[in-house]
Order: sequence, then C-alpha cells, then structure tokens
Amino acid sequence: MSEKPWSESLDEMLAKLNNGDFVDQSLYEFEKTINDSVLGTRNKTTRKGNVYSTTNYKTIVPHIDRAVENAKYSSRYLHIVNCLENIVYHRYPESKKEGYQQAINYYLEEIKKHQTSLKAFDQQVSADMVTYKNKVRTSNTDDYLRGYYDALLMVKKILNNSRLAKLAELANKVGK
Amino acid sequence: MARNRRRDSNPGSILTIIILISIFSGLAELVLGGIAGLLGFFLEFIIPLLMILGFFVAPFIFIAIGIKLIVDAFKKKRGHSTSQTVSGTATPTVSHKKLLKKIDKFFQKNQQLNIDDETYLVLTDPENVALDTIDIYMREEYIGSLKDYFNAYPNSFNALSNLINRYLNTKNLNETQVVEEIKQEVKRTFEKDCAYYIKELSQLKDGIENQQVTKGLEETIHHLQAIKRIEDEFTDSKNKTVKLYQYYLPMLTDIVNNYKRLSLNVENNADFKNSEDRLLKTTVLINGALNTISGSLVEDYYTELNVDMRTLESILKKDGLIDELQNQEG
Repeated sequence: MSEKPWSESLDEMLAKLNNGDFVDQSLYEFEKTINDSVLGTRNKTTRKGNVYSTTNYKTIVPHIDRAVENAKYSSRYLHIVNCLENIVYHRYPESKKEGYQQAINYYLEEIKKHQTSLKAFDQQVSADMVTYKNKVRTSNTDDYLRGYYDALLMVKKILNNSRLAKLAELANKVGK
Repeated sequence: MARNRRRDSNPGSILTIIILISIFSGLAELVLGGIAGLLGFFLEFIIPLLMILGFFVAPFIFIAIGIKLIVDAFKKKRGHSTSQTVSGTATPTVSHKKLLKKIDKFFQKNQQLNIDDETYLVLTDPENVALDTIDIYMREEYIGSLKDYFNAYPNSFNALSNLINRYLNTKNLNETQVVEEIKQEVKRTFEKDCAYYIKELSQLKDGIENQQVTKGLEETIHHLQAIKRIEDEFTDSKNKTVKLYQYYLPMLTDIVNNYKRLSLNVENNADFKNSEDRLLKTTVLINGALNTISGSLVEDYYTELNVDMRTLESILKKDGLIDELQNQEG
C-alpha cells in the first residue's frame, strides 16, 4: 500500500504550528500529538536483524510525480499547474477517483483564470476547504465527496509548497 | 574663715590638678593635630594624586568604551553577513512596531516598496498596517504575506527588516544600490546537502545552554547521518529528500539562528520564550519526519535489493549458472 507522503504531514503540522495551534500545549503533549499523528513511527526488523522505523499511517492517496514535485520553477503559477497536471493515481479507489479528478480539473481551470491574482485563488481554495470539510463530516459515506475533499487537500498542499519555494528563494536573496 | 580655707587646701592636690590638665590638654592637642594633619595630607596629597591618576586613566576608559562600541557595531554589521556563527545571525535594528510605522508612512505616498529588481511589497489594507496586510510579490506574482515570511524564516525576516529599514532611512541610497547589496548577499541553499546540514547543525548546537534544545538537535544530526549513509549507498534515494534540503532544514537552521540571537540578548524574555518553544516543537516535528524518511528509505533500499537479487537469480537461472553453482557446492 502506498503511504501518505511524509512532507504532506509535515506541511500540515508546520502550518498548524505557525498558526499557533499548539501554543497551549506543553512539549510533552506536543510530542504525544506528533507520535499519534502520521509522523508517529513504529519499529520494524529486517531479515538481517537491523531495526528500522516506518510510519504506521497506511492509506492510499494520489501523489505528485516526484520529478515534477522536486523541480524548480520560475513562478508559483507554473509550479501549481505542473503539479496539478502530474498527479499519479496509483491504486486510488475508483469510487473516489471521479470526485478527485473532477476537483483537480475544476481548480486547473480556476487557476488559469487567476494567473495574475494568485491571492484570490489561495483565498478561494481556503474557503472551499471549509465548505467541503463540513460536507464530508456530515456525509461520511459519499466516496465522490471524499475524493473531492482529498483533491482539495492536495491543492492546498501544492499552494503551500509553491509559496514556501518562493519564500525560500527570497530568504536566499536576503541572506541571514 | 578665708585663712582657714587657704590652710585647708592641700598643695599636693593642686599640683595633681595642674598635671592632669596638662596631660589632657596635651592629648587633645595630639588628637586634634593628628586629625588636622590627616586632613591636610588628604587635601594636599591624595586628592591631587587622584586628579593626576584620573587625568592619565580617563583617556584609557574612553578608549575602552569606544572599542566596545566599535565591536558592538561590528557585530551588528556581521549580522547581515552569511557567516554561520552566532554573531552571524541577523539582529534586528528596528522593532516590528517601528518598522510598520515607517512602512505605513512610506505607503502614504507610494504604491509599492521595492525590495529588489523583481520583489516588492504591497499594502493591502491602509487602515490596518500589519505583517499580514503587507503582501510580497515576486516577478509580478503574489508569494505570501510578510507574516508568512516571518513564520517560515524568522531570522531571514530580521535581515529583510533591517534592509527595508535602511532603505527607508536612506534618502540618497537609490534602488539600484539596494539591489546590488542584496545580490552580494545571495547564497544558494538549493545546493546544500545532507553533509552540509550535519556540519551546520553541529556548529549551531554549540553554545546552546538549554539541554532540551541540544538534545533535539543532536537527534536531528543523528537522523541526518543515517540518511546520508543511505544516500551514499543508494543514490536513487536522493530524489526523495530534495524537499528536506530545500525547505525544512533551511527553516530549522533559520529558527535555530534566531533562537541563538535572542539568547544573546535576553532583554525581551517573552520573545525568547516563544522562540524557544517554537524551536523545540519544530525540532520534534522535523525529527518525526526524518525518522519516517529514513525508515522509508531503508524500506525502499531493501525492496530494491530484493528486486536486484531476483533479477540476478533469473539471469543466472537462464544461463544455467545456478545449477552449476549448486552442483559445485554439493
């Protein structure tokens, strides 16, 4: 089974940390939160007896083609479009795939309209996230909806990564 | 009666009284003379001596103060450099509040504040000048707010604040000069790899007193060493760790730098505590991720190894070499 990419979990957690979601937690409580999350690990032993750890989170989610995800882009727009166009659906359930692809196509169209106003696109995705999160909560069995929401999480992740890439570029320029 | 009294007065007692008076007056004279002598010594010798010494020592005191000021200024200047030492971390020369005030004043007359030839700031809400209402644009594209930048790269944000502050303070400094200054400080983190961050974090860890922080960083270094061993042996795994060197480790080193800067000047205790808390939690997060990555890389390595073994087996079988080898062993 494919795993949820580690970077996705780390991005989510870093975003929450930056938003101050863990301010009230002690370090011990925070460590517990992390261990209970995707980044929590358990040990495994190889045939040779070497101990190594692996994540205990096993779910099938689409991922971006690694070469495309790791490439450097001159603009956020190119970064986002390339990632949205190169999603790998390896073993993703067919029942959810339709909703997922529908959402990806919709946001591909939307970003092309918002090429010069990415902030508005960021805001639109955030607002849609809230709406669909509530819909998924109330209807847990609708696979189309769950697929659509999975896609929204992916769009959010791509937006976040493209933003981080450009902020890193600026940090490189400015120096320390 | 008078004659009788005169006869009653003893000549010996009169003599005793005279002697006593003489002794007391002599002692009093000695004490008063001593005090007067000491006072004279103090006024005529010690004070002039102190004045003479002061005259010779004072320049040295002023020189020492001057040297200290120069050293402090030098340290502040080094804050802009790309040196990786503690003194190399950016020290803000202006508080956020003052900076925002200056930015507000600037935007009253201008539409955008140019950082360099392709990056500029735009104020989105003139009624509420804050880090989250100032957007950053790069190549005519929105890349985030100043708040996003501060959250991701707090130490680099200080360098940017200093740069903006200097730009707003210097009327004669034209935009091209600012751009040139930035270009000189460009450093590419994209070329940094696992070995670089092991060295970087090992250096940064030194001098940190909080044992929780050093323990967390030691764990990070330990994970990186494990990842490096896998990368060295299994080069295909490198494409899985690109993001690590592009975003997460620069972010962590930036936060450590910021923490070390604040620890040198603990005037603002709340800031320092927040920075410490954030550093500790970021370290926990990144260590969790590194643990997952190294586990996943090892898993991939063994999978790859098994595939190679099976391929080799099938080739050997095809060439009939396995039976030959088994026969030889038999």
